[in-house]
Amino acid sequence: MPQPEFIQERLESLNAVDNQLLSTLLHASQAVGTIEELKRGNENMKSQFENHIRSFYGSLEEATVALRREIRHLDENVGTRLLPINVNKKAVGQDNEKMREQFEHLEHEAS
Amino acid sequence: MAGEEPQANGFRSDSTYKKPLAIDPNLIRPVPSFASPTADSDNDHKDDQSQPSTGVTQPLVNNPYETFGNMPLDQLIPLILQSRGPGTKFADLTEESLMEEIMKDAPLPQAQQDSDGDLDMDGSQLTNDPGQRTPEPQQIEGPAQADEDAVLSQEQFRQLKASTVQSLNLAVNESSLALEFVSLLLSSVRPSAANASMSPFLKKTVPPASLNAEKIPFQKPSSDEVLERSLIAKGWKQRSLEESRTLLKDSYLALEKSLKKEHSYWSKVSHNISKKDVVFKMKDRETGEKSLGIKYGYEDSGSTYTQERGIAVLRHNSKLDNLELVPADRQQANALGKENNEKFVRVRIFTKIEEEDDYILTGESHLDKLLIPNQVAGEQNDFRRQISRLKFFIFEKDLMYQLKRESENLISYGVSIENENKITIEFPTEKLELETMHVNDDVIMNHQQDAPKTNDRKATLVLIMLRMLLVVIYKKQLRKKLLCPQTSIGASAKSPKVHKVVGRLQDNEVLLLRPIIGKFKHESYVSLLKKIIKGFVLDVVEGSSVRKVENPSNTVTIKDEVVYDNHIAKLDKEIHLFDKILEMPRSDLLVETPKAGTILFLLQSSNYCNATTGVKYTNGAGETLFDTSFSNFKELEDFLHFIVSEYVSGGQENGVKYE
Repeated sequence: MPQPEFIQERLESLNAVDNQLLSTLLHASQAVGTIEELKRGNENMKSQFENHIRSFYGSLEEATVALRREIRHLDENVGTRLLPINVNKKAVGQDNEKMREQFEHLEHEAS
Repeated sequence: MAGEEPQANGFRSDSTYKKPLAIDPNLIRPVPSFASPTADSDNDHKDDQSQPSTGVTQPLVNNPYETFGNMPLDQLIPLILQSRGPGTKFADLTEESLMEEIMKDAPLPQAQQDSDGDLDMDGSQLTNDPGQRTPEPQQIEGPAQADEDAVLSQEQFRQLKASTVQSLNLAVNESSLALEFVSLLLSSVRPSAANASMSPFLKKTVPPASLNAEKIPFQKPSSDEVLERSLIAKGWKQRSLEESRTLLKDSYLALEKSLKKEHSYWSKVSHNISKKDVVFKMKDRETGEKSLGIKYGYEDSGSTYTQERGIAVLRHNSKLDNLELVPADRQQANALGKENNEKFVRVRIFTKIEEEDDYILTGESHLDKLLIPNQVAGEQNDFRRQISRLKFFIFEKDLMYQLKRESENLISYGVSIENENKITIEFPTEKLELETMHVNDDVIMNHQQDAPKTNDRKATLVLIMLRMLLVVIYKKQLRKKLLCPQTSIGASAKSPKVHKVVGRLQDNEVLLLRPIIGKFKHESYVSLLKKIIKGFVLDVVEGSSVRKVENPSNTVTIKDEVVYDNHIAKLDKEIHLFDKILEMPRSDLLVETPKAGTILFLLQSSNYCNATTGVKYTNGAGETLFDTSFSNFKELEDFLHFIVSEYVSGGQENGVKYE
């Protein structure tokens, strides 16, 4: 019984945000690495450093934008698709489930 | 006055001024001139000390007289003459004439001074370069204050004066402090000289020779050293950069791993959790991580079982890469060393062997298919199955709990609680055993290997009925909550609304065993009654017969109550389905005799388990002669014997006689 498509989409996009945030870390480490090279006197690393910094900020920005979008989705769907956050869902209907199950058993026995 | 001496000394010994002493007031001077009044106030307390040496103030000012005063006269006089223009004689200069000149020529020097620029600059130029002294004397004539007096207002002048005094005081302070310092430093080497210049305050507070100084030669680092140091510094920087790079990289890799886990967790959750499941945030107590919990208990569906919370943590098993459900209670149970909390209720029927006064097992309830482990490989790990199992087990535990509660009051009807897990119910010919079993392989294997027995079906039906009745109890509980939501679950509400009576029992009473025991008992009562009837009536009275009569009051009438809530209406309907089962058993038997009327037997129960028999004798003429009831079959026998011999048979005899 998988979740509806919309929920799957949200999960996927949140996963993407995770990945973007993760890649900022990678870019940061690359940037530090190029700084190191630069300090060693390797002047032609400059453009690389710039690239790394650019992608660092780029992924950070993408992640924040995507997160905002998700928050907006959350806000929009509370009350329609989702219960309000302060309302706890109740496990109702389990009695009927059990009853049905027992009726099935009964039927099985009676036949 | 003490301070004056070294300064004077300094000027004399160092007429060139190239190397001024550290305490040269002229070097200190620029600083105090900017000093704020607060700085001054800080120094106020030192003023007492410096006041006596007011004489010092004079040399502290950058006073041209000071420098000129130190010149040999043979230099100074030509200078003066030069400044006064050619043709003047030094001898002509008198104090009066000079005074006159100053009064008269006041504007003149100011103009000159403007063109010359800053006073201080002149002073310093003079001190730095003794060769250029020619323009100086003009300043002698016009001191700055006097010059400005003419232009400046009185107020401005006063301000300037005040600030100058302030600066002077400050300078005095500083210089005397410096002097004290030097004196103290000197006191270790030349005590007498130092003593002379030390202030009484210092002498009193600080012991002489307590300050020392040493000359440390400044070693200029060699170029190798410089190189080495910069290399080391660079190396450290490189190293820390490298380290921070690897740190970032490592955390990236670690996070990547945990993200992968997280993503697969969520995808599994989204695939396995349906809308029906109640999922909420909770903390995993074992790992301390934030996690998801799932509710499997029947609490929201009307259960009042509180011994287990019915909550499980959704945990990701990274080894098997699947979702695991760990009940919150099991975590605690594990901590207590108890394991395997999985129990189910098993019903067994034993039949009595008359001759041996012993029982043999003749029936056992079927195992739920959830208990039988993986028919298909890997199915045990199936998540839905895990949930179903948890639901199943908590329900079974609830069932046993309620059964035990009910059994407590049924001891007089052959119901006994043998131990925590076992209830036995004894009937005349058989014995019912309700037992909670731990799920283990042996139990399941034994059951599967056992040959089917005659009463298996009966046992299973009993078990199914018990479960259904528990659900009915849930439903009643739900209805009660809906009807009066303000009363809490456990409290037996006293409000009249709740006194919805089914039979004579209240809503919140446990009704599991009694309906079933009642059915069994009633059956045996009926057969007993029939036996009695046969023995005492049918065998005695010829032509008489017995037949079962439908009880008119047996049909359940659903009261047409005004129900406002759909949910309550639905619950009512569902509960009424079971009224037939829950009602007290009752059988009516009618004995008809050919001539002497009828005897009606009403066999019923007030609490499912006991039996009362109503006997109503109507003679042939339609008169009701007896209408009574017995709870003891022995008394009934005696009474029947009496009726039959006195009325039925007697009547026949009478009839015969009449004939």
